[in-house]
Amino acid sequence: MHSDDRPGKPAAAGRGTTAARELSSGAERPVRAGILAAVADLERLLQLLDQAGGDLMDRFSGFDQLLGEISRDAAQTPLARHAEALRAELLGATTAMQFQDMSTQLVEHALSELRTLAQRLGDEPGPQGRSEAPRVRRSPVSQSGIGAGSIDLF
Amino acid sequence: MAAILAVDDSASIRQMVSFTLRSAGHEVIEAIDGQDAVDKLRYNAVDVILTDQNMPRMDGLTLVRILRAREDCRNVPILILTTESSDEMKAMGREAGATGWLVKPFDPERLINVIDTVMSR
Repeated sequence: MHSDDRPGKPAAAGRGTTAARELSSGAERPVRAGILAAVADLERLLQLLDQAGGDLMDRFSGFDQLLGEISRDAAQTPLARHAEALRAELLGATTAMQFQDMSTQLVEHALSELRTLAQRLGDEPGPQGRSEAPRVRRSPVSQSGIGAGSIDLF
Repeated sequence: MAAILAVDDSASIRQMVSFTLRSAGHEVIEAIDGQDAVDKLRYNAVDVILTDQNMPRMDGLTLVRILRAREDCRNVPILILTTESSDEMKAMGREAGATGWLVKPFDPERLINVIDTVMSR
């Protein structure tokens, strides 16, 4: 490879901004392709999360309904006590079951940032020959675990 | 028993909140975002409102401000239940007139206790 053809190398004097733009887009193309591939993967992950979350919720709901029926049909019997114990266990799972909401928000945020980057890489350079630096938006989810969050009463 | 309006654009969170609060004997009305909550409050009186912050059409803080300007909702406890945990956002919630700020994920027992606490104030 000729040294002047290396991606990202500054344009040689006298070749003008068009050459610089070509060199720049040559370097950006594989980066943009990588970002778009990551976007496609994250979109699939969102679909999977949505399907898995929806299925879990349907079964959770069905289980809750069955427990209600058992509690009514077997009132005043030992079975009713077991049903209540099962309901308490189910209630205990609700904290972890909120993973879908948190992970969906995180993935949507990452997708939004990647789409913005990909779009900017595809942009023509501005008047100064360089696009403005993208502003990174704060993630709406700061938690790193699924333990219960804080409570503040005002 | 209280009538509680649960506002969240996530169907799974609405379901978790409803399951938790119904298990404690409360009645739950669900809304999918702030605008839907405003619409539902035209025909339903509630004792407590539990709302998410980041939602399409109308977010939680906007909902709080709108409801605090309404005579019938001025004194209804409004709790924000959200993944947002920054002090800045909590301060905005307080300023808007929210009663409390709960960070997701919620623990069911603690959520039930908070509802009891704000109702007894």
